[in-house]
Amino acid sequence: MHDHDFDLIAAYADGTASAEEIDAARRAMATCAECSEEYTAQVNVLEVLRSAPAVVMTEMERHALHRSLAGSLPNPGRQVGWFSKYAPRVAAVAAGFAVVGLASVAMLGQFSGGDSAETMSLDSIAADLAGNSEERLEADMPTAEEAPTDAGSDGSFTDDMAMTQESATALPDAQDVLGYAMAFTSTDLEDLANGGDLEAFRLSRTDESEKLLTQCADELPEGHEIQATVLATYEELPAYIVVYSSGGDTVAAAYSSEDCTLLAEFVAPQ
Amino acid sequence: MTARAGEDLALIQRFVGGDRSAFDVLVRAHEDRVFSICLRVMANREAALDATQETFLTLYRKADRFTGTASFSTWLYRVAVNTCYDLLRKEKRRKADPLPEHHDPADATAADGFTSVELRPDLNRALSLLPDEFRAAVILSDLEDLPIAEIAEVLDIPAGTAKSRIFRGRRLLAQILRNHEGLTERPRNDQDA
Repeated sequence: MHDHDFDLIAAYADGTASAEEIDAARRAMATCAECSEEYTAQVNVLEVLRSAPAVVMTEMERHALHRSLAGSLPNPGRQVGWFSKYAPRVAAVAAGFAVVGLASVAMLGQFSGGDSAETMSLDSIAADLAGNSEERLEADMPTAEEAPTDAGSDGSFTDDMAMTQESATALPDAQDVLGYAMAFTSTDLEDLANGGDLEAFRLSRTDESEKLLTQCADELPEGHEIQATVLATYEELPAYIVVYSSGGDTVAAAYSSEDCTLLAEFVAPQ
Repeated sequence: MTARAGEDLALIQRFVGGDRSAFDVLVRAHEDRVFSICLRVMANREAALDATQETFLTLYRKADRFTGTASFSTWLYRVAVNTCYDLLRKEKRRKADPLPEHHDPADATAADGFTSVELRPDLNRALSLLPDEFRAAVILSDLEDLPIAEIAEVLDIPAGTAKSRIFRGRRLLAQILRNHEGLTERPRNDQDA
C-alpha cells in the first residue's frame, strides 16, 4: 500500500476528503483489509484526540508567568541615561546604609523596648529603594475593562492584583536589584551572530565591556574586537552576553559572570 | 480580518510605537492559547510555563519583525512552537547519554515530572513519542483545532505537507497507542510511516 492511499483514507476519516476522494476511499476500503483497518485506526485516534479537554492555566501558573515576565523584561526607565544605569547600584548601596542604620536603631530600640516598627520599616524602605518590578507591571497593566473579552477572566486579574499587592512589601530578589535586564536564549545568540539588532537586545559598549575585558579576557580569542556586551541571564544563569568579531567572523557568546565559563556561542562568517 | 485580529494588529502597532501597556494586553489575550500549545508540545507544565514565558519575551524583543503578512496569532504560535522545539532540543542534549531506552513511555513521563491532568496519560505518552514535526502538526490540528492553512503558516510549510504530517502523525499515534494498551485494534507491522 502506498502513502497516498493512507492519506486518502485519513482524509476520508476526518471528513476533509472531496467527493471524488470519498468514492476512491470507499472503493479502496471495499477491496483492501489494510485500508479498512487504517480507517478504523484513524477514526479511533481522532476520537481520542478530539475528546481531550481544553488546557487551562491555573491562577498560580498565570501569576508565575506574569511575575517572571515582570522580572525578565527590561524596564524602560532603568535602561536610559546615567541615573538609570547606576540607580540599581546606588539603591543597593543605599539599602546597605539603610540596613546598617536601622540595625543601629533596632539595637537602640532593644534598650528602649521597641522592635516591630523597625522591622516593618526595613522591608518597606528596601522595597522602595530598589523598586519592585511587580508594582511596575501592575502599573502598566490595563484595567479589567480595557482588557479584551477573551483575555482571561476578570476574576483572575483581580486575583493577580491581590497577590501583587501582597508581595509588594517583600524584598526584591537579587536579579531585580542587580538589574539583569534580559533573559537570553540560544536563538537570541544565533540572531546576534547573524547580525541581529544590538539595540533591540539592549547591547552596547558599556562599562560591562570593560568588566568582561578584565575578568574574562583570557577566554576570548586573540585579536578579538568587542562590539557590544550586556550583563544578562543565559539559561537562567547570570552571564555576560558579548558580541565580538574575530578572524573575519562575528561571534555571539554567553560567559558566566561568576567564573567566565563559556556557556554558549554562535559563530557567523562576516 | 476578524475583530480579534484587528485588535491584535492595533495593539502590536501601539507596542512597537512604544506603548508598553499594549504588550501587557497582548499577553493577557494570548497567554492561555500559547500555554496550551506549549503544554501539548512539551507535555510538562513547568516546561510549558518556561516556553510560554520565552515566547512572550521573544514577542517583546522582536515585535518589530511582525510584518502583518500573517495574523498576529499565527505569528505568535509560530514563535511558541519554535520556542518549544528549541527547549526540547536542549533537553534532549542534556539527556543525550544516559537513557538509550528513550522509547519507554514510563521513563519518558517520569523523567519529565509529568503532572498534566488534561490528557489521558497514554495519549500524552504517545504524543511525546511522535517525531517533533508530526507532533506539532497533530497538536495544532486536533487539539488546538487550527485550520490547515493556519497550521501550514505556523509550521512554515506548504498546506499539503501540513496535511500529510497530520495524517501520518495520527497513524503513528494510533500505532503507538495500540502498542501501549491504548486502542483496541490488533497490532500490525506497518513500516510505511
